[in-house]
Amino acid sequence: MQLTEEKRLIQDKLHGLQKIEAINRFAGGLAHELSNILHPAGVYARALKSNPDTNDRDRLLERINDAVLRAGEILRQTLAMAGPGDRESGPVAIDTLLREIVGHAQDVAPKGLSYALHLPGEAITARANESELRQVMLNLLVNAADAQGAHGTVAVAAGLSASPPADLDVADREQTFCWIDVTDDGPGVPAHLQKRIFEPFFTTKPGGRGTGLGLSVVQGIVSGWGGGITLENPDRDGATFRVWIPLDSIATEIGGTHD
Amino acid sequence: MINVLVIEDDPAVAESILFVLGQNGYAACHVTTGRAAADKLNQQQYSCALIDVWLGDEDGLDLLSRLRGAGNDLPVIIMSGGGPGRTLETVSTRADVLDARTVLFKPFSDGELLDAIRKACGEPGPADGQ
Repeated sequence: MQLTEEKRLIQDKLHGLQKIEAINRFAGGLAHELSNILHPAGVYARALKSNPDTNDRDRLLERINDAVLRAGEILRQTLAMAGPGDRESGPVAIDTLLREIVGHAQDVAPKGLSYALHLPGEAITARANESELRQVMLNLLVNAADAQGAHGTVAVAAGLSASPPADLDVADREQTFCWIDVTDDGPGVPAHLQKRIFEPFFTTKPGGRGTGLGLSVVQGIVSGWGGGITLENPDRDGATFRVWIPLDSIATEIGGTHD
Repeated sequence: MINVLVIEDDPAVAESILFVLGQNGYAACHVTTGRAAADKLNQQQYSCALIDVWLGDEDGLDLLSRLRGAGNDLPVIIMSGGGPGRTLETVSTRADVLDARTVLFKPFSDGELLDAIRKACGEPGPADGQ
């Protein structure tokens, strides 16, 4: 009994230290991104001040505007990651929600890009927050579409009763989880980048296209539910990102129905 | 003529630095990786190099360390905008140990940049304004 209590305390402490480490890393990343955005804006503002009638005027003003918009995008993503902190988790019908989200993604997809959805026969009711889960799916679907150049098929699947890998930091390992997979047929994630893809501000998208916050936002949200995210198929082409979400115990006990 | 090698992976920052160098009559060559920088340094003489610390997968200070290890004593100016685990102190200290002439923290003024280049290249005269 005492040992269990001690183990729990140590785990809590470690969790706290990891949080501080994550915040430090995030602050460093945010400083780097914003200083890279602000520097050119300052250069062009000074150039316009000393030479207001330059032929380059429109281009320089556009660069300053680009910098402001990009900083704004990073701040919005940062807020999405931080979240209000008090969003309640409740039962979410994963199968129903995925049908809706994937259906909507297909409606707005460019020609040549399609989505395939694979669901088990039974209902899945997880403990999450619906609007946050929409954000999670949006980020993963956008990444998947980008990874395969917005053509081909992105596969979305869900399943029940799986155990997260031992090295995934989830709040309560004893509970039952469901998972949602998003699989692209892009080039996959090179081995040397696999550890870094969840770092804030890390992006493989070409200059200016990604904020590098998409997967961090996903990780922040799902860990808030007591879940996690993993890269499932590191050794072959294409990437599968698997989101682990605790099942809703009450809905599960009464037979997994949610209608 | 002063010829500056700029090693910076962020295209917007690189463009703005080349803009200032061009406006002030300096020749510049821009690369985005340590490998490309090493190639350029093997091909040509430069007056000094501007090296960004966070070069995507690479650390600009590791690049400087390799250059020094290979006996290259090119005057180097380090640029930093922070990054995970990179405080102003850790960057400044390591840059100093590796004999960088100046460390510029983004966003820096045009005057600071020009001043740092003049000093690194042993040119007299103060930087104008800002």
